[in-house]
Amino acid sequence: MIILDNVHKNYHCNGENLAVVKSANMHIKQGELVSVVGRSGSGKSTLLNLIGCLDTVSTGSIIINKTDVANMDGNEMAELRSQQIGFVFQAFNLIARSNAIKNVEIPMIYQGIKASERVRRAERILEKLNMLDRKYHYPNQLSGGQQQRVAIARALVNEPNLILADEPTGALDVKNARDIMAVFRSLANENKTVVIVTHDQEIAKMSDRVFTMIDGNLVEE
Amino acid sequence: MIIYFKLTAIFMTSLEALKENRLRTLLSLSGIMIGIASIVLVISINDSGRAVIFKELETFGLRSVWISRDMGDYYDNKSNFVRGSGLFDDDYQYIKENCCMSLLNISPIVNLRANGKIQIIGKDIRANVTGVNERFDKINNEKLIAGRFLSIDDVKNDRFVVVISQEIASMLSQAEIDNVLGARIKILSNWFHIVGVLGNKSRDFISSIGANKESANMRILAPYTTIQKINGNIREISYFQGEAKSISHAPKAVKEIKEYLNYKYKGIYKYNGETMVAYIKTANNILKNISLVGFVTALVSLVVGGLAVLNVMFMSVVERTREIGVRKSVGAKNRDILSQFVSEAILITSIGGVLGITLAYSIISTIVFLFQFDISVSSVGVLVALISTVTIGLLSGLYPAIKAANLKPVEALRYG
Ligand SMILES: Nc1ncnc2c1ncn2[C@@H]1O[C@H](COP(=O)(O)OP(=O)(O)OP(=O)(O)O)[C@@H](O)[C@H]1O
Ligand SMILES: [Mg+2]
Repeated sequence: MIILDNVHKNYHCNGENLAVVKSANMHIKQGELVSVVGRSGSGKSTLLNLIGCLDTVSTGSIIINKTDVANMDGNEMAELRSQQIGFVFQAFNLIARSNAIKNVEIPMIYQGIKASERVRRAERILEKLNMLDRKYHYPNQLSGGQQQRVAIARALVNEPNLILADEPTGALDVKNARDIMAVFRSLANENKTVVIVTHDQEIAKMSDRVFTMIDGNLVEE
Repeated sequence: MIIYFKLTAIFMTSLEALKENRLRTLLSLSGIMIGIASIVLVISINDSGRAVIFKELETFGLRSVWISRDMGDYYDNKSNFVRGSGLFDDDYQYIKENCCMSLLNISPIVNLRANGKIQIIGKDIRANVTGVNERFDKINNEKLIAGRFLSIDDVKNDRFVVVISQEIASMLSQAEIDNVLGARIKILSNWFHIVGVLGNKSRDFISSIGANKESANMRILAPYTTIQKINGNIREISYFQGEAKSISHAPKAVKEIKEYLNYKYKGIYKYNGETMVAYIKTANNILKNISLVGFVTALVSLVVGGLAVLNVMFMSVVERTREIGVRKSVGAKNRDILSQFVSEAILITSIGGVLGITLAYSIISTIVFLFQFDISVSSVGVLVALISTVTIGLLSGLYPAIKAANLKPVEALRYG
C-alpha cells in the first residue's frame, strides 16, 4: 500500500527554484497495476524516484506499508529499497563489466546471501523471463529488449512488494512490450504493487488505473 | 555469516573492477612496489650489515683497548730522544696486579724483531709472529678450533710452542686440521711445537674503513717471553692489548693505564691509547647513513605511490558514479559502498606490497649470488612492509570511498 499525500518536489537550479512536482496525491492498494503518463519533462521520473526512496520530497509525505519515508535515515531507506522495492530504470542501468547473471545477483549481495544461493535464485528468475540462455552475456552483447528483461530480473530477484518501472517498454517493439506487460500483470496477480511510467497510451490502458502528470500535478483519469 | 558472504562478494567485485583496468592498476601500484621494496631492502641490508660488521668487530674484542708509545715526541725533542717502546715487563706486572679498575685482562704484545720467513717441512710461508700471554685468546675473542691455547706455564717457562691460524694450518696439512697439532715449525732459526689452531677472522669491513690492513688469517702466536728471548733477551713490550670491563669502560681503562705510565716515566715517553669505541661509532654511522638514504627513498616512493593510488581511486569513483547509484538503488548501504572502495584501494596497495617484497627478495638473491654478500631478507622488514601497505591502502582509499558512499542515489544515477 502506497499513499502520496500532497507531495511536492522542487530543485534549486542556476539560482532558480524549479517546482517539478507541485502536487501529487495517490492511494495505491497492494496488488494494483498502475500507470503514470504525461509529456516529456512533466516530472514522471522524479515522482517515481520519490516513491522508490531514491530521492527525498521537499514537502508532503510518502507512506509505504504504513511507514512514512520522510522519517527514515539513509540506512533505513537502503534497507527498504533492498527488501521492499524493485526498480527498473528508464536506461536499464546494467553494469557493463558484469554479465547478465552477475547483474541479477547484485541486489542479493547486499542482503548477504551466499554465492551459490545467489546463482540459484538468479537463474530461476532469468528462466522466468526467458533469459537463461543468455546468462553469461554481457550487456553490450544483448538487445535492448533483452537488457530490459535482465533489468527486470534484477528488480524482481529480492521478491519485493513494490515494483517501480520507468518506461519499461520504451525501447521495445509491440510484441516485446506486450510480453513485458504480461510479466507485470502476473506480478500484480501475485499481489505485488506495480507502478509504471510510460508515454504509450496503449500500454497505459493495460493497467488497472492511469494517472497523468500535467505540469507537475498528478490527476487520475 | 551474512556479513561474511557480503564482504566476500564485495571483495570479488573489487577484483573484477581492478581486472577491468589492469594497466591502470599496475601503473598505480608501481610506486607502492618500489617503496615497499626499498623498505624491505633497507631493513634487510641494515640488519645483515649490522650482523656482518659487528661479527667482524667482535673478532678484535669489542671491549679491547690498546696502549702503545706515541713516537710523536721524536720530532719535538730529537736531541734527548730515548729509543724503545717505553713499555717493559715490570709495567705489565704492575698493571696486571695493581692498576686499573676498569680493566679485566691485559696481555703484553711483543713483535718479532725480524719478521722473516718461516720454514715448515720445506715450505716458505710469510706470517706475522706475535708474542702474547695466556689471556690473549679472551681479550682478542679468539675461537680455538683445534688443540689448546698458550698456557701460563708456556709463558712462565718461555716454551717454544705456538698457536697458528686456520689458514696456515691448512697450508701445512690440507687433509686434517688435527694433523698439524704436535708438528714442528721453524721460525728464524728456532723450532716450535704447534699446540693449537685458531679460527679464521673476517677483515672485510675493518680494512674497508682503513682501520687495520693486517691479514688476520696469517698469524702465529707464541708466548711473549719466548719472543723476547729470540729478540735478544730484551725485556721490552711492543704494546699492550687489554680488555675493559665493558665497551663503555674502555676509555676509562685507557686513561687509568696512561696515568700510571705517565706517573712512572715522568714524561720520558708519551703514550697512545685506542679503543673499539671509535670503530663501533664509525660502523653505526655508516649503517645510519645507509638506512637514512634508504628510508628517505622508501618514504618518497610510498608517498608518491599513495598519491597515485588516491588519484586512481578518485578516477574510479567518478567513472563508476552511475554504478554506485545502481548499487544504492538496489539496497547497498553507505558502508557497503565504503567497503567496496576501501577494499579496492587496499587490494591495489597489497598487490604492490607483494610485488615489492618479491622485488626486494630477487634483488637480495642477486646480490648474494653475484657478490657473495651475507644478506638475507629480514622478516621484520617484510612485516613493516605489509603493515605500511595496508595503511597506505586505507589512507589513500578512505577519502575517495567516503565521497562515493555519500553520493545520493538519484544524483549518482543521473551522472554521465
Ligand atoms: N536534478 C535536477 N535539477 C534540476 N532540474 C531537474 C533535476 N532533475 C529533473 N529536473 C527537471 O525536472 C523536470 C522533470 O524531469 P523528469 O525526468 O521527472 O521528467 P519525465 O517526466 O520523466 O520526462 P521523460 O518522459 O522525458 O523521461 C525536467 O524539466 C527536468 O529538467
Ligand atoms: Mg523520465
